[in-house]
Amino acid sequence: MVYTSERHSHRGSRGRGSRGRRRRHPEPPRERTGGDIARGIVRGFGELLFTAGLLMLFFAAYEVYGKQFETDREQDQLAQGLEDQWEQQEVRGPDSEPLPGSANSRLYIPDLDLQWVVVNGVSQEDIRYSPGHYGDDAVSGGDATAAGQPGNYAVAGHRTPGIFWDLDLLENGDQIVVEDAENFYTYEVIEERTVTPDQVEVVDPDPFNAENNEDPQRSLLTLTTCAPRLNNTHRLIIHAELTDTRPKDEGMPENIADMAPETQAAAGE
Amino acid sequence: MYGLIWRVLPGPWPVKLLLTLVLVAAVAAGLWFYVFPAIDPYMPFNDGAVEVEGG
Repeated sequence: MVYTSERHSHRGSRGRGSRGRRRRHPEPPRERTGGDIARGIVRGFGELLFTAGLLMLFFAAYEVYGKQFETDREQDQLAQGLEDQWEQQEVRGPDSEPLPGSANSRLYIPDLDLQWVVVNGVSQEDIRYSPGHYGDDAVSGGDATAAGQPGNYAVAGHRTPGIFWDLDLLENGDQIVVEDAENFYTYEVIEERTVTPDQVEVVDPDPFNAENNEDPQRSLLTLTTCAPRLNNTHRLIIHAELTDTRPKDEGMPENIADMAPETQAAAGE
Repeated sequence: MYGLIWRVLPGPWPVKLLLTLVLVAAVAAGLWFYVFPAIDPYMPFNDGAVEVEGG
């Protein structure tokens, strides 16, 4: 008791100046000095920065791994609904308005070993977990092209892992296959370019010659996504041209035959 | 902040450690499954993946 009170008075006599600090240091602090408060603030600030850094790293991990998982799950669900979708389309007639966000076709890129169910529409909501087909409202002329028809079958996708992340790896001549209710359409990449987001002509019926937009001669496929990765200043555009149409009765084309089991399993569910 | 959490948690240090791990796991799961999916659509690098606005 005497000792503590002594120590207390000892501290008090030394004052709160910085001169006495070094000698006092080994003893446990009993009073909050200005230095303690300053250290507390600095420590709290440091901990906040440290926490913010951890959170951002964790979010980055989510963007890469978590979203891939979500995308896969969503794709599974879409695949289950795709066959029904095609049947309904037949019942309602080929000219009926597609339901936004519903499945439209299946897209295969054998060279990247990737495949997706493509949905109708390109709004943020539609293409959150899958590539989306540019519908009538999104293309000039107001009449979107169906897969395999003369014109431009345009598909947008996010530049996220699981969707169009590696799209820049495609080279001219690489094949892209679109499957709809009746046929497999094989396209070959003819051009890859980067444009600014306002160049909407890339999804026109004939992106190479605007004069043909009313009556397109070539059957094209266009993929659009963000460029560079995780940024949205530009758009990466892949143009491909139809080289082969194969009715479904004849089975899957050879170039995507190795992707078949998974597809059939998904379709059979 | 972290010091305060450590002091508030009851028990000897192994118990504190266990409680801390549980807390960390709970926070991580909450972020991963609820917070991140909720804020993801508002991130600039996702918006406008396509050139047609609202199309």
